[in-house]
Formats: sequence, structure tokens, C-alpha cells
Amino acid sequence: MTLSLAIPVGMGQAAFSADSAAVFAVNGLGSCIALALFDPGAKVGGLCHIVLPESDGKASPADPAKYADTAVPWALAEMARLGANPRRIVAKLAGGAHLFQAAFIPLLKIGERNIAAVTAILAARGITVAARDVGGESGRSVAFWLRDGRLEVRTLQGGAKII
Amino acid sequence: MAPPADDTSRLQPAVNAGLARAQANITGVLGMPVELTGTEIRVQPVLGTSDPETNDTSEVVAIYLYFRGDARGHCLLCLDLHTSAWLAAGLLGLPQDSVRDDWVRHPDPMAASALTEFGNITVSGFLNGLADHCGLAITPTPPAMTVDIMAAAVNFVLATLSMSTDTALTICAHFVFPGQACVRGTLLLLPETDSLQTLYHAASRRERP
Repeated sequence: MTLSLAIPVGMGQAAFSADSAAVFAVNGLGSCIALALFDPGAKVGGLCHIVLPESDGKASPADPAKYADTAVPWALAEMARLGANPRRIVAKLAGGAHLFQAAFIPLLKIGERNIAAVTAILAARGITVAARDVGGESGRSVAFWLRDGRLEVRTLQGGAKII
Repeated sequence: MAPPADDTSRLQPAVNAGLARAQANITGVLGMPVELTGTEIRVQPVLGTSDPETNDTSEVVAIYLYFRGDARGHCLLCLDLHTSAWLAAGLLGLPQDSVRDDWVRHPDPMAASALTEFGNITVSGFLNGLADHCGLAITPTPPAMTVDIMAAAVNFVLATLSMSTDTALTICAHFVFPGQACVRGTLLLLPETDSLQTLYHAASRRERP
């Protein structure tokens, strides 16, 4: 499958599949996190495009993937519903950048907070983080292959790499 | 609460006033006329939109300003690399044929400084024109610049906006520079929650007969 046929996952959205031919993609992650979850045994995977760290009770049933604290438990339940074994699920993360470097800008370090929140919630759920490409000052685009769980991360300055 | 999508036309005169000020500033700096085309005002969800800007993987120089005062929000000016190189050369008095896109892709400090100041003049002009038309006091922060794909710059600002609102008023305008075929600058204005209402009401009041 070429990347042009990949299923796009927009901000605050998520996609899951038990089809090993599926490819999910996000273009232009800034401070957001792409959380890829994969059960290599069942070949079930999902990609969440997480925007903010905490819901603070504001989460809507319509967008559970928007916040880290609601996205992770919801995504694990969706994976289990598709046949994933929670004990086999591994995670990969990309994103959490701070694109505009200026102290006066009230951007609240959302990227850093997103990284910390997703990492803590995964640890609390006993999910291993197999790989990550997070932080920095560059935007990222990602593609996630359910065939083998690889996550391609592309940046403007650094090109593409597989994690 | 956001203005209804079919009522955003009331904002058009205020947006036009902002764009006219930006246009005058750019013309003054470059010493040549600049066209503005394709102005759009949209009310839409912050997340899950399929706007061209949120999926655009073209490389841009992005200049960001926050604004505060009677209204608060975010302003982002994105210029494609070729336009940016052309602009930076002109601003620094260099021959156009001496400049390549790589000069701004990995920004030379002088080019970065010139483009950041260009963004400052453009966006501040837009905000001042808009604020004057609406009778509001708005103060922009100094600018910050990055070189990245447009989707990353736009999504970064949208993520910040999503902390305060689920609805975005997006004002998008394209700048066309003389002699530059198929190049553009895109200006996005994203007010925060209460400020969206403030702008809308101020603009509506101003236009009421």
C-alpha cells in the first residue's frame, strides 16, 4: 500500500483495525502526539492523534482521542474489542514538539505536557513504550503500518526514519 | 457561543480593514503593490476539520504572533519557501537570482530576521486595522518564526486554541506578490473563545446602520 492510500487521522481522532494491510497516517504533528498501539500477535493496531494532556472533565464522548487521559483507556478498550490481548500491546510515540521558540508566547509547553501525560498513563496501564521520537522544535508526519507495527516518522529537516 | 456560519459576512468589512492595513504596510516595505485574493471567513470545529491548511505538507516559513487586550487570540502568517526567498532577498537588497529556496529552508540569520520582521509588519498591520475598525484595543506580542510544513504550524496553533474553545473562526487570506506566479502567503486569525464573540459583536455594531 502506498502512503497515498493511508487512512488520515485528524486532530483529536483515532483509527483502529484488525486488517494487517491497513496504514494510518498523520500529516503535520506539532505539539500533538501520535500514539501507535499494536498487538503483534493479533495484528491489531490503532493510531490516536492526541491534542491535549488532560480532559479536566471536559471530554466529550464524541472525541475521546483528544485528551491523553481519555484516549489511552478508550484506545485499549477498542483494541481489545478487535481481538487484541492487552498484555501483548506495545506503544510507539511521536510528536510533542515546540515549534515556535519564544518565551513571551503563552503556548504553555503543550508538547512537553502531552509527552509526560501519555508516558505516565501508558506506564500506569502497564503498556511498554517500544520506541519514541518526541520533543524538539520540528513538526512530524507519521505513517503506521499494521502489517508489522512499524512507525515511519518524517521531519522537514531530518527526513524519514522508522521507529 | 460562535456566530452562525452564515452570518460571518458581518466580519468582512473589519477583515477588509485589517487586510488593507497589512497591504499598505507590505507595499511600504517592499516599495511595490501587493494583491490580496481569496479572502475566506469560516466558522468550524477546531478539531477534525479537513481544511486545506491542516493537511498541507508544503514547506513554509511560518510567523506566529499572539494578541491580547480587548480580544485575545493567535495569528499565523505562512509563506511558501520560494516566496520567502524572494521576499528576503528583496528586503536585504540582494539580487533575486542569487537566492535559492535552501537559503530560507535552513535559514540564514539575516534572512530569518528579515522574514520575521516582514511577518511582524504584516500581521501587526492586519491586527491594528481590524482593531481600529472595530473600536477595540489589541496588542500583538513580538513575532516568532519557524520553517516547517504548513500542517505542523497550523496544527500547533490549533492545539493551543483547543484549550479554550471547540469552535474556531478562521480568517484566511492570500497575498500575491507582483511577478511571482503561483506563490502565496496565507494569513490565519484564530481568536480565543470570548474574543470570538467580542470581535463579532464589535464588527456587527460598527456595521449597524
